Amino acid sequence: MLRIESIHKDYPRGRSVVRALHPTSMTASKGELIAIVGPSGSGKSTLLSMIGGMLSPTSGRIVFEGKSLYEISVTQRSRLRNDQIGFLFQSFNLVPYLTAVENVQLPMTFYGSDRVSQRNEARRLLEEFGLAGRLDHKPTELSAGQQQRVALARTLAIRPNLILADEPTGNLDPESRDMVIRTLHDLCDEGRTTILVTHDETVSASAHRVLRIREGHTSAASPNRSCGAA
Amino acid sequence: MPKEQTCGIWKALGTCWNEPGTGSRILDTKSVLTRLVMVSRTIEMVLGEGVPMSFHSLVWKEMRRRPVHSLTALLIVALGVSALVAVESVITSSEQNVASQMQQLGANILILPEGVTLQDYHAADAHGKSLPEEYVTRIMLAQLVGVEELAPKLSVPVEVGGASTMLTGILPRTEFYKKSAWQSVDLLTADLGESAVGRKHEGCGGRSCQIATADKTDIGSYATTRIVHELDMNAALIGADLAKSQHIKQGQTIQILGARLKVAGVLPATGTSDDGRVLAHLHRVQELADTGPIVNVIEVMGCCEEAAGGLVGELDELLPDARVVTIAHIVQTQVTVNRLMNQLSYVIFGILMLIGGASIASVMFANVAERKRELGTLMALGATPSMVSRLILMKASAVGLIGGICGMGLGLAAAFAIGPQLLGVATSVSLNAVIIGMIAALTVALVASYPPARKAAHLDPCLCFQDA
Repeated sequence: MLRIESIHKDYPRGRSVVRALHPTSMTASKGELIAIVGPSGSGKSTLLSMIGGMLSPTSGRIVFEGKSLYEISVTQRSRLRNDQIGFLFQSFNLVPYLTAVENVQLPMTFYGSDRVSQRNEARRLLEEFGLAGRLDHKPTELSAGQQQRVALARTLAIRPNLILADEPTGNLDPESRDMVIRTLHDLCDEGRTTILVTHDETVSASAHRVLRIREGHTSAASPNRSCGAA
Repeated sequence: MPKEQTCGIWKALGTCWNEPGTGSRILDTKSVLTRLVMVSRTIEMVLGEGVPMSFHSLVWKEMRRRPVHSLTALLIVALGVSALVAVESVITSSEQNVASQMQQLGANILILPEGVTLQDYHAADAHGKSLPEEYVTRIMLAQLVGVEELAPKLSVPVEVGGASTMLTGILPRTEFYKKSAWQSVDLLTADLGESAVGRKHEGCGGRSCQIATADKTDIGSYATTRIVHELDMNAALIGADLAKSQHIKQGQTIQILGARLKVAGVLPATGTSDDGRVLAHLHRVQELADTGPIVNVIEVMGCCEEAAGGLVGELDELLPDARVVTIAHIVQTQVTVNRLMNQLSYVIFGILMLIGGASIASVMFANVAERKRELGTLMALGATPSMVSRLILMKASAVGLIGGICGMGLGLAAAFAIGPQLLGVATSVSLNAVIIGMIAALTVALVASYPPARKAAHLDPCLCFQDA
């Protein structure tokens, strides 16, 4: 489903070059949950950005669903993200001036035209996440746990095959954290692949595989458990 | 009073601006902004709150969240457009007014007291200085070639039915006849309808006289000929606007300066300050205002501009203490002033548009910088760079468009208020200015926001992964 072929990333700094990520290769199968762990500044987010089609590697290829991400146009890549890749962020990244339901609806509005069904779908997702009473609340009127649930609903609104999560539990209390992890595992059970960056050992321990990064060097993804065993 | 009760709707907006203890609302900037937000919410409700969100509504919602940012730029654009629309509308009306005067009056000369400067023909008597009425007789006796009609005027401020207006004394043609008879000099022709005052001129290149012949029986012909054949000492003529505003009708009696004058007629509308005046016999006005035999202006009507041009020197010689100007000169002055105002309005508009453009650019750059993370998130969620730049351009267009519309409204309101009040001109809308203003406002907004929109499109979407 996802194949990363020897990608690396260099950033020019003056006359020298800083290597943010050394050559890395890996694959992710359908329904897998892979955790990327490592200290801050080790290149985790760089790797996640490249997998998400937002940062081109200096060399190497990323093939997702048979398409080489950086050999298609920017517009095609945006469309692919909107169709198949869901993002989950540590700070939730909800749009502050939109209500919960509008935030969930947001990724559907870029290309879709049936706004009534978009809104209904957004409502349904929020109700599933127990936010039926918070549909018209702005992010500032929601707790951190509620905001992350809105963000999860937004991620699922496009029914993505690949979910990329950047420290999704970093700002959450234990109860909300467990809910997020449970949901991600449920999604894996549904056949969606999840790659998440985390510092949290509990979270990485529940992943199927763990990829460790230190100063841009990755160690092979070690298997933790099989799919559906969370 | 409990706070809940005093706050009312403001509480519903999440903010209460009631002054503790007094219960009165504090009208500060925040309060005004809160009201604006309320208005915008109402608009949204009208447009369809609860209707599923569209890409366009993102712009509106974002603008509503940061009203101050957009408001400054919007105000500058609105000011620029309003300045252009107001000045242009007044100038257009003024030009139409001048054209209509030229058509109505042909070649004319005004004799004014020394030191009076004049830019408006219809305000020629509104300067407070005077000439002896004897000058009229002097002109008659001189029998200058080309002088077809003489119209001395004296204006005094009065109140009619509580409204401030001008009472203008005019001399009917019968007075000239009496005067010539009294002088026992057969200087005037017997037929007042033809050349009653001076000798026939020969300077119009064979063309017939351009002055409209006054109808002896129609008192309302004053509006076009500025001549009345007969006017009783206790009669008055009322301008169209004054008659309308004060509900004065022909045959009615009005009280002016302690005297009762019978309304002999209501003059047809001319679109000039004459529409707001009361006209009466010159000698009656002199008597009521106790001014003695003086006038403010003497209008001399020649058949054509050539004849009037030649007369200026002769009149100057005849009346060395007076100022003699031709209507062409007045019109020229007015046209020059109009042109200057016209150019000035474009300069002001240009400057304000430049400031507005710079302000919009600055606001949009700041907006993009503030929204980096949000825009990055939109890209992560699948928005293309062109969609992101469109968001910025749409916001700028909204600022330009709303600014333009507000400016148009303000400008027209100002033109309609200032035109008749200060300049004595009935204002009409300058469509050119409205179109130019709106197009310029939109163009400036789009051009100014293009660089920030480009910057937004080239933002690194990975910004969405960085913590705030």
